[in-house]
Amino acid sequence: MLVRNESAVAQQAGATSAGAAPVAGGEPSYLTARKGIGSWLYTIDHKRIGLMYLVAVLTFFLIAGVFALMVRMELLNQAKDIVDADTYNKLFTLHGAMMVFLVIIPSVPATLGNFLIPLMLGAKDVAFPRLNLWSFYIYCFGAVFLVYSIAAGSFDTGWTFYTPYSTTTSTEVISATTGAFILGFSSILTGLNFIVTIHKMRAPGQTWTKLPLFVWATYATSVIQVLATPVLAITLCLLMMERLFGIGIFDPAMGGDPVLFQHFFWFYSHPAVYIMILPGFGIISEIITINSRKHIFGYKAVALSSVAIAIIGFLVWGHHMFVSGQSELVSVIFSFLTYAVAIPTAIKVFSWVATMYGGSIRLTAPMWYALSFLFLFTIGGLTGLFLGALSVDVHLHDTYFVVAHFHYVMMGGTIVAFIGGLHHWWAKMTGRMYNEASAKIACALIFIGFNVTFFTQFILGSKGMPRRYYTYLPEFHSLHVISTVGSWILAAGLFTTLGCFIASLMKGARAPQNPWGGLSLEWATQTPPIEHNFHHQIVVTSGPYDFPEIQTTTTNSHNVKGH
Amino acid sequence: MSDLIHDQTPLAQAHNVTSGAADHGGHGAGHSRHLAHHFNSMSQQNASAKLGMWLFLAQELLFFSGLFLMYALGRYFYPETFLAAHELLDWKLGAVNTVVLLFSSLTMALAIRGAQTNNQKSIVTNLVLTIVCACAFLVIKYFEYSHKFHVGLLPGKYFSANLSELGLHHIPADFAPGVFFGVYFVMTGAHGIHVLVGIGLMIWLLVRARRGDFEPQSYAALENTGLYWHLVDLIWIYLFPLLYLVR
Amino acid sequence: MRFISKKMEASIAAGGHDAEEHHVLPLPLYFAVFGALLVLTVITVGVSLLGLPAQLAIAVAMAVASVKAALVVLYFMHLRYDAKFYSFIFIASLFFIALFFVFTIGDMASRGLVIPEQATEVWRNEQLAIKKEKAQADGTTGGVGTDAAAGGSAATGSESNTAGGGAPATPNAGDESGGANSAGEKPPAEPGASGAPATAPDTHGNTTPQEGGGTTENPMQHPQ
Repeated sequence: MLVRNESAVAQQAGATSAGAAPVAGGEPSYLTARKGIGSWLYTIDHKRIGLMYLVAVLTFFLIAGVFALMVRMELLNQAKDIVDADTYNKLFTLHGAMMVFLVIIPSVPATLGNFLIPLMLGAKDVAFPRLNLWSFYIYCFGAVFLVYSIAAGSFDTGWTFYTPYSTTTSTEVISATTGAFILGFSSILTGLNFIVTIHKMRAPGQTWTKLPLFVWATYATSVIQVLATPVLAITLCLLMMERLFGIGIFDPAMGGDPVLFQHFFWFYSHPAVYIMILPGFGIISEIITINSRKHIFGYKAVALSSVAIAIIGFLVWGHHMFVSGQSELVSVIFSFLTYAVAIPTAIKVFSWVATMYGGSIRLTAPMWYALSFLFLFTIGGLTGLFLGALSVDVHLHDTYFVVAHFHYVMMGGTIVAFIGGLHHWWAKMTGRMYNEASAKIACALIFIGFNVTFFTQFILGSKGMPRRYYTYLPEFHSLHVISTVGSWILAAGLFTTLGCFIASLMKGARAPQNPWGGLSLEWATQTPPIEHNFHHQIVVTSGPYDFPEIQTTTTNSHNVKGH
Repeated sequence: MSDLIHDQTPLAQAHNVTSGAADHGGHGAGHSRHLAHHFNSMSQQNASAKLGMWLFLAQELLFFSGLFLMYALGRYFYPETFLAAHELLDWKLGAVNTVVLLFSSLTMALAIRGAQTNNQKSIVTNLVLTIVCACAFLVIKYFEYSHKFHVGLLPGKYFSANLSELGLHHIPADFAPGVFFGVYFVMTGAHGIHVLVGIGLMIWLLVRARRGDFEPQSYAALENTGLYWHLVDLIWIYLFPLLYLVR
Repeated sequence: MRFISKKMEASIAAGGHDAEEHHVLPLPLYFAVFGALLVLTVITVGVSLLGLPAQLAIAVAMAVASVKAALVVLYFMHLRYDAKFYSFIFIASLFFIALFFVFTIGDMASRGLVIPEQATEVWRNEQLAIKKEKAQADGTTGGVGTDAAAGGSAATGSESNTAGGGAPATPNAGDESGGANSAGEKPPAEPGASGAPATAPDTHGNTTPQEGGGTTENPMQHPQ
């Protein structure tokens, strides 16, 4: 097994690690090509838009994370610690709403997706660059509404806005739902943009089977965004109509059915969780292959499993409603389909592990994150199986088991993959390297802190601790203390990562063009890229994973086909 | 955005950039003045725009599907209410609106055909007709709505009409007209907003058409707005019988 | 990866991606489609005046509307002549819409399969009965109004009540003391003396609508 370190790879990639001169035609990078705040606010460059999204997403991640820390702080003891019950309800509601709508859903697609997709395709920009900028401003506009609702006294319905409480409570539901409605359009337009870009703007020779798996994952995500998000829009509209006009479709006193709201809501919100995780899967495919110097195991299986997850993901929403009064027949069908969606997901996990087997593993910081992902996401996914079983779900629904499950997949999955992806492409985006040792320490803190926080919650949940509760029975006290301490470790890890990135920006070493030796098109151009990405039209003749170090039969046949 | 840099890459230079509309064979050889910097050819640009619009229509369909589901369940819960309450709607006005929208679809399609055949006069005339029809639709809707507000046929808890005065004598036991009119106003309201947006788009198209922007190789904006407008018509094709002709 | 060759450049510029067929349809076709749409509209209205039974009327109305929609989509929107992928997008959306409808309505319709008392119709009737009681308790109308169908022996209604062993409901319409409890309770609820002129559900949870309950009594006008 060959072992290569970064500097050796960097030298092989043909660039020095010192020196700041841009390559070839002497063109400045996209960061310095135009100057002034206006050049950022009016930009149509997908890379700049991606960076602006990144700043916004990280800001809201910080705010929503602080809310989470406050929630955990309050749960340190049964009695009031720092906030009263009403405020507590608002805190977990806001944590959820902000994380879902402002952070996780846009996180990978709008930041890394925007930055990388045109580069990976060999294109100059996305298909609709101005629409891309509009998407960003629509996102900001929606965020304003959510922030306003916080300032105006917030809402406490839980991020799921269940009726009848959401239709009757006097808290700030309308402004929050308006915000979410607007954010939905940002999501739809981003997805639309990516689908057209991937269909129409691939470089010559860039067939579907030569696309990096990140592109396939983004494509599947975009399909879900376009099809599912409008249903959220109409759901929130109907909720607002119900509040304003009392139409009565969700109100049992008027012959309506509150479970109907849940059907509407989860028809979007379940596919939404696949919007959240699929891009993370794409990132992991990239990190694992590059750091194993090996072609992905089962390219077509991994690519098509993304599409399969997207489609089957629309068929399972009722598993959120097993105990809401949904009919038994439909519950059984949804439970069955829920198990079906686990299959393409498992295919991916097997493929990643099989890719590493026999590979030349390089334990870089992104690889640490990818390995963390494998561990954490697998736990999250497996615990989903518990929840998908009807009889077990009766006991576990609305307990901390559910909370732990979705944090394992959304945070241990998506956020860990996102941070790993940020590390992986940091050099490409900023032209700087970060400190590898600090990054790894941060990763370790995150991993340990996360498990302490949330594994404890599986235990809490199976013992019967309900979710969204301000106080609890004495028997749960010690587990809550452990979980809260875990949250501090986790926070320390996240802040260390932030510090690591800031330090990199201020004094990080200049990055070589291709520090990791990647073969996908984003690595074939200047680091950071010039404004329109490539100096000349790229023609693709080989796949993104045909690493020369390890010759497997797959690699060989691909090279043959590629020419 | 006005700060687009003109494409200076070797690709463009190799092509002896010719501006102007005289393209041969419809394949965008030579760079049309409409070609955006990030596309390689008009064909690619037009195909992308059309794909984008079809995706947008897909999400519009999903959006309205929620409303139609609400209708279906409202009717499932309150069959007699829907039967009785629809008599308070004027089906003749609804029918006129249907014809108006269908005609506007025709004129929109003819405007696009005008662009395909480079008939500038046809584009402008048909666009104007479409806009007129769309406005007529909204005017009729205005009359319908104002009448309803006047007599108290309002959605949800605001319903306050005197039914016998309106000629409704057979009232079912679980009559819930607030549900029916809630459904009515939300559905026609959402549709009406889309009509309004359509009018705005078409006025912009009219301005561009009079500038001579549309020619056989580049009429994507016209074609795609047409697709949008036909969808608006499609939705009304279903709304009309479901709301006005419940028997 | 290498820099592009001149030949490749030329082929890209020639629009090698996909050549859009600018299919120009003949004018008469447009007018024919429009004519057909008008005819179908007339049919829609005409059929609705025939007074068919409700289910059939809906089915026919939707069928005709779908033919009109198909005409608009195929000809005015050019789907018939365009790349197949656009048709795929359109049909795919319809597929997901169908999913949404089938599962949601399926849930509503199948609630009573295992436990009949949980059927949608049943608990909705309970809610409406509660509402009626409350309306009467509030005394907006004196007495119950002319109830022709005194099948307001809501005693039969108690068969489908889940509440504690179904105490037989006294069909005492004007009884204000009939335990009008707070409306808006989720099922199963204590109907108490459901003396209100509730619609009488039979064992299948279907309701027979009653005639002319109080013209001035408007359930929607009462506070919830």
